[in-house]
Amino acid sequence: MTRDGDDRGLDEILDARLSAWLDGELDEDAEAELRAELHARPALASRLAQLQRVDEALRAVPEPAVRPELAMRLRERIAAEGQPEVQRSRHSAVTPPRRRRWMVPVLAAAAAAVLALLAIPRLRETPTPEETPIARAPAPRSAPEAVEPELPAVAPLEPEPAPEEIAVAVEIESDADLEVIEMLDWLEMLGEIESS
Amino acid sequence: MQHGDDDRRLMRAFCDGNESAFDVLFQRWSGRVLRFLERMVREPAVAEELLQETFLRVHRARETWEPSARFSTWLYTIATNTALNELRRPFRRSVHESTETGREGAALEIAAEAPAVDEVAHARRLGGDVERALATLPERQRVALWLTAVEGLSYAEVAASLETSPQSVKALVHRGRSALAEQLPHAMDRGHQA
Repeated sequence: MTRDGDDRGLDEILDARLSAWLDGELDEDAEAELRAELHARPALASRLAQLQRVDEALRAVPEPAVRPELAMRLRERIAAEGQPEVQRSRHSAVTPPRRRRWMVPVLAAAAAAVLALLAIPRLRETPTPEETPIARAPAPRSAPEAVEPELPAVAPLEPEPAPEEIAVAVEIESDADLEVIEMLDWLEMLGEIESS
Repeated sequence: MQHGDDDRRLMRAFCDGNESAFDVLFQRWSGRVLRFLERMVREPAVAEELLQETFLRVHRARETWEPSARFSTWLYTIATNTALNELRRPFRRSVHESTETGREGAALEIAAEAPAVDEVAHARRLGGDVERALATLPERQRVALWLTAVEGLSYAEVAASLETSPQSVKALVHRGRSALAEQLPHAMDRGHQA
């Protein structure tokens, strides 16, 4: 049912008023006025019926059946939201924190650079066995056993951590974290060797 | 729509820790909200996903819910926002992303509860026509028309959902209804003759 010739001149405002009436949005005065118009203009009544049928067609769309699995999945999602802290702590125990992951390649590159800097001058000098840093140190005047206390001028190597310590660290930190810590240790050690 | 006070009572009970009140609200409203979401996104599997998101938000709001509006208005506001967010995603979910099996890939169909064959056929035809006609409307017209004409929300309530004025809603509804009246004449005539 399309709007025929009589309807074409239908005032747009009046049409909007019909729509508002269907939605129960007209006040009493406006409604009374519209009723009078409907009596006077059959075309308007026809238009009202047309708009009403649109609403009927929309309301005729039935509700779909909600599958029971949806309610179950919703419950699962709600339950999962109820324990975010536990999940977060578990997550951090398995995966290295993102903010520290970037440090691994950076520190690796830094370590490589330091090693290269240390290696280049030594390659140029090609020191003889007598010219090693320890050999260049002032020659001991006394017996070797008296020299012992002066040796700490060269940084001693860090002792290897006991296996139990590593085991504890693995429990607490991820592999990536350990790599970072090892890199830092190496850098520190190399720095001390260089300064000596 | 007739459940106004009861819905509010259930929501209050849920806010006080009664989880089964939430289940009752889900049972009561999920079908209607799913129907609305299906009309909005036109993908049954996506609509189901949005239905869960809608009720998940209801659940999250238990600490902050204020019974200032009707429960249905509040619920449809959440559902509307969820649907509009989905429609505005640059790459919308497709049914293929869903892990659903039951309704995956199924076209929207009008189910009928064992009426006569002719009625089923007509309902399917009319449902398909309504579906196609609705799809031609701009999304805000579609939301406004559905919420007022089908769900019975007032212009003020829809205006709150769409964050606009009641006057704008009036215009949206009128334009949407007029457009459908032009597009659905034959289907509606058949419906009247049946």
